[in-house]
Amino acid sequence: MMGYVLVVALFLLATLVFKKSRGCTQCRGCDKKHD
Amino acid sequence: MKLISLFFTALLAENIVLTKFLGLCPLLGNSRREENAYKMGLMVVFTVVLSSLISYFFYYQILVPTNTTHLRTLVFIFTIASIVGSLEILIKRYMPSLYKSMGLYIPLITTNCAVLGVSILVIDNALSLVETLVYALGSSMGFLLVIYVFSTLRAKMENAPILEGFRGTPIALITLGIMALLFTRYGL
Repeated sequence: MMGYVLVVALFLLATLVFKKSRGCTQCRGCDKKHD
Repeated sequence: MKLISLFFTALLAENIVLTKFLGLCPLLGNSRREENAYKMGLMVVFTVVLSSLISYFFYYQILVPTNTTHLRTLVFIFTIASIVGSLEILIKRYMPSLYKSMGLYIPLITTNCAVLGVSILVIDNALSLVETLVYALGSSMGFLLVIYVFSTLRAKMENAPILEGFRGTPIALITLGIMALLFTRYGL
């Protein structure tokens, strides 16, 4: 059970970190501002 | 002595790129410029060492006691993704020039199979925590060594008289093959 909780927790953490690091998900590293 | 031997084996004789063919994608994609090559190598060293230690902890402290070792690939992948994401945030904040020059290649470290490969090899070979640290350091520095040497060779190949059909990827792969022969020679 703990293993499954760990997987879900890590998935949420990875999603959160990527969202925070890349900002707009449409962005591919360009400098343009998105809405 | 055993740890030193493990380090040099991982670095040279059993180089993760040239003997296990892991991490070829970033090696070929990011070795055109020497500067970018060693920066990518350093980021891989950081990610591999940190991810293998954290994966080791999760595997032996959570997955083994709860008998859910079949989830290890998922746990390792998400661990690597979290570390790379954090690394990207740190680079974006403290080293904007590096972030600009590397761009999309930073999150692509997540898909570098050498990173996942080291985490899995550590578990498969039942290494201890100290051995894990030494093996991760050796493997990742092996990647750094190969990507840097390969980028210098590629820079020389730019102006070398090479037949038209061999230019670009074909000559790069032939060069990698010769490098693999040289590196594995250390293990004989």
